[in-house]
Amino acid sequence: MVVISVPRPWREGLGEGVNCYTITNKVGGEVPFYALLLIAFVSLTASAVSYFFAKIKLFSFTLLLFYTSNTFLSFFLIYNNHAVFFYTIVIFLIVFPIICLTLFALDVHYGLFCIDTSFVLVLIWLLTPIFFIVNLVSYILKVIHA
Amino acid sequence: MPEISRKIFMSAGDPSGDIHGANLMHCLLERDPHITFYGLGRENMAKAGLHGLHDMSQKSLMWLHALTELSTFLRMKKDCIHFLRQERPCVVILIDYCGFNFYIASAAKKLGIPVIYYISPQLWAHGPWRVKKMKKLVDKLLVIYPFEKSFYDNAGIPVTYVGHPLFDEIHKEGVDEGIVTELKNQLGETIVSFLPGSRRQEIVRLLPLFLQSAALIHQTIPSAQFLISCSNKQHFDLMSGITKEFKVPYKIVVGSVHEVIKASTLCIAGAGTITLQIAYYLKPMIIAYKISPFAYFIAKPFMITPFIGLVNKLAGKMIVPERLMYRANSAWLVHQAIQLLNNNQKRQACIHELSLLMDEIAKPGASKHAADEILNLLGSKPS
Repeated sequence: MVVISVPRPWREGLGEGVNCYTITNKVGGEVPFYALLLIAFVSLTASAVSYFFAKIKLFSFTLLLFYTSNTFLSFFLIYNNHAVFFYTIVIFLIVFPIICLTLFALDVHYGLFCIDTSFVLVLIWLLTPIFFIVNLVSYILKVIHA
Repeated sequence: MPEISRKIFMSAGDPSGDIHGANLMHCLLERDPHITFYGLGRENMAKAGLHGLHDMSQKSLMWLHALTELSTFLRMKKDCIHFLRQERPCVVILIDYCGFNFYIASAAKKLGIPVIYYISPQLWAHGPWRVKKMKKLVDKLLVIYPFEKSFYDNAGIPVTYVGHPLFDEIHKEGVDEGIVTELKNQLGETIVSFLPGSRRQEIVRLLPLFLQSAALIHQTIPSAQFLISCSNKQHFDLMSGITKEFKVPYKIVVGSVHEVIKASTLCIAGAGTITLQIAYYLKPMIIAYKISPFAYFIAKPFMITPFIGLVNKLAGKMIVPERLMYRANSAWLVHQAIQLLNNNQKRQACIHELSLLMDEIAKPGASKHAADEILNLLGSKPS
């Protein structure tokens, strides 16, 4: 007997013990979307406040929390139906700001660039709320269509 | 033995940098007439003998507005680097304008050409981390404020305090007393002048706030008359357009900044070098600067100095009222103005503090000191 292994779509299984399908179910069920949305909102607010008062460590932590919660949220809300849109979000609203912030941090520490890299903060504070709004709108649409 | 001609590359972008650059060129030429100047500047530096690679008029832009001129800046950078490579000047002198001048410094360093930065960008006010960059790019800093010396000393950058070239300019130009008398005769004894700055963005942001305050000051002190200083005639139409919306007795004066200040009872100005000019004439002043709420949010973590006004920063304490605003707070401005106009004790205290400060810093000779330092660095004996 020939056994042909047919791989399942990657999102259905990431190997033993890690199953994205299960995670999706948990996020939609045991861990409700609005909890992630709430975490994202609170961490965004906290990062803005800590930034304003120059509390760098708290700012870094809350921003990381924001990006983690929002990335999960985007994945669960958007990926299944709009994969291209999800990847666009990943590129413009996650990867790009994180690269900008990393370059800014490197510049602050080592003085690498001739240009005043502080302008990246403008980009960050424009893109971060947009990322949250995208997820919020996706969630509202999901609730409406449910 | 024939004299050796020396090539010096200079770069200044702002109008004030152009004036100070021209004064420095005159002082260098007095000491060594065989110097030839190349680089970037405006009309004053061109008149002083600069062989300009590009005319920097209309290229003084702030923040993200500079992006609209990106291609021009890239072309300028390319031309400057080409010049440095081909002609190899004996020194590169950069005057403020760090957004562009850091690129020139970087190119010069790579080619092994010494870099002198005259009039340091105000890194102590915003972006102190950039001092590391400055250390990499610059061989010598010639600073114009006393507190800058310790700031750069701590960073390990060779630095000399030469004084502020503004005082050279004031001593050279003097004041036309005829204009001062005429302004006083026309407007009476209580003159409040507004000096919103030389940049278009500053005028648009600050002038409406000032005029809003003017209307309220006029209600309390009907004898008060208002002068608006327009340092650049290209902005006259813009100012006229803004003033039309306000019903206050005003007069716009193009140029003659010193005369406007001297004729004034009180000056209301944006933060910047203009506050030093006002302090020089010992006129009570209020410093108000307005930025958008978003810009305020972005800039707030980097505001490491407790003062926005240069005079307060130099004095190390609040000797004149100042406020950075993200929304128009004309009530505060009016309150401060009325206090300084009506309360003689407060007014005299302000004047006294300004005179103490000016005794300390208002000494001419900055351009000469800078020229001596530059020639010292180049290994020739200054006169």
